[in-house]
Parts: sequence; C-alpha cells; structure tokens
Amino acid sequence: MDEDPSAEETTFVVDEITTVIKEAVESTIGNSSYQHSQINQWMSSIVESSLSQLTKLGKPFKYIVTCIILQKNGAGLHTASSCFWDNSTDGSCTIRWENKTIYCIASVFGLAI
Amino acid sequence: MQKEEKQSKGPQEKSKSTIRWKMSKEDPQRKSRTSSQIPIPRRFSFTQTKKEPRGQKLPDRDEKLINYQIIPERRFSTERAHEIIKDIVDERLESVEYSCSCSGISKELSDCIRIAIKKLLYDRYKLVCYVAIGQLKDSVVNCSSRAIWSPTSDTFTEYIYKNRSLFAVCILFAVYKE
Repeated sequence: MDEDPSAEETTFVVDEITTVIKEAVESTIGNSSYQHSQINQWMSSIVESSLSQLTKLGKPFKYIVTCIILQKNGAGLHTASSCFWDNSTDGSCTIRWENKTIYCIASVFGLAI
Repeated sequence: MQKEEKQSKGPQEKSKSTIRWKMSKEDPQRKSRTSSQIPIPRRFSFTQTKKEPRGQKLPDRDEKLINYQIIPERRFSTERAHEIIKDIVDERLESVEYSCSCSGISKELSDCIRIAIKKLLYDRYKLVCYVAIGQLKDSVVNCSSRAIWSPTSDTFTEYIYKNRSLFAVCILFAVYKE
C-alpha cells in the first residue's frame, strides 16, 4: 500500500510536465510577434519559469530544459534526442508551439535521483 | 558497654523529637530538612525494553541497492566527449545538403553520439544527447537550455557545426545517478 504513492512520485509523469511547459511558453510569448531585441529575454523567461514550476512539484528529479525559438521564414528545423537512462523512472517530453511569426520547440528531460 | 550505648541513644532520640516540634510550629520550610534526614523509601516500578532503532534491519534487496556515493569516482570529461562529438558530426555532415531526410540524419547522429559516449564507460552516468539540424536561410535561431542538477558531478558539452546549407547543434548532458 505504501509503495504505490511513492512509486508515482518517482516516475516521470509526461502529462503533468507538458502542461507546465505549455503554460510557461504561452505566458511568455503567447501573442507576441518575433522581435530580435526581446528574444534573449523570452528564452530566459521560458526556461526559468518552467524550471521553477518543475521544482515546485517537489519530486526527486534532476531536470534539463532546452528551448529553441525560430523565426518563421521558410527555413526548416529538425530535432532529435537520444537518452541512456532508466526507462522505469526517467522520461522526457517535447512540445511544439507556434504562432504567426514564431516556432518554439521546448524539451524537458527528467532524471530520477 | 551496652548500657552506655543505650544511654547515648536515648538522649539523641529525644533531641530529635524536640527539634521536630519546634520546627513544625515556627519554620515550615525546615520540614523538608527533617524529611530528608529520614529517607522515605520510594516505591516505583519501570520496565526497560530494548527497542531496536528503525531501519537497522533491512532486507537484502535494499542493502544491495543503497550505495551512498554522492560524488563520482571518475568525473565526466567534457573535453574527451567534445572531441568524439566533433569527429562524428564532421564526418557525417561533411557533404550533406539540407533536405527532408535530415530528420533521419538527426536521429542517427544522436544515436551515434550516445553509443560512442557510452563506450567511455563512465560509471553511474546517465546521458542525454540532443541534436538539432536546421536550414541556413537568413532566419534567426536561438537555442538555450538550463538545468537543475548537481554542478559538482553533472555537466554538459556542446558542438555547433555549419556548412553551406545547414547548421547542426549537438548538446550532450551527463547526469550522475546519486
């Protein structure tokens, strides 16, 4: 009986973390159009706010958040990741977000301690 | 000899009794002194039980898993990893032009890098290899990453490659299992 809630706390729950990241991205660049002067600030804001929300979950995980923001100019982008970890406890989630002028790809990797 | 002893006992006892009388009337505090002079036998009982501290007896399975080595014996070498990544990426993307097939190339690259770094046999290190291949077309690309980890044991290395038609960003994160 005691093992079940502790097992939930030590596994990577994809849905929960997807919502955290989506909120972080939408709150930062929700309705904005691409502005070169603001891009650094947006990047820091997305990454830091998502990390702070992830730590508030209080799970025994190390987190890595990566974010790519691309101007919509007809250029293509492909991302891939390959991981060597413990499948039962660790996981990742990637979200793709876009508006009229911006593409954003954010990935979170959670590694159990 | 015996008579003398009796006589000596006699006046002493009397003196005690007289003192008690006086003290009870005048100094109520001194009652404690008289009570201390006559030890009152205390009757109490307690049971001593030896309790083993919790967690002392662990099942064999947990004893095998617990390993309190928080700092790695051999710290991950970012320089060596960077050399390996550079060799792999330069060789693979030397004459490649950007196309839709780059999605397969990015997967292939991330797998190759992961396998090559695994061969370095760093004990208890988890590896995350992230590769992004994009088209060079007058557009601005920004990539940033941040982590919550232990800076003494965890680290990362990155390599950026560019040719005429494409760019590639390869990041390798090495996270120690505490």
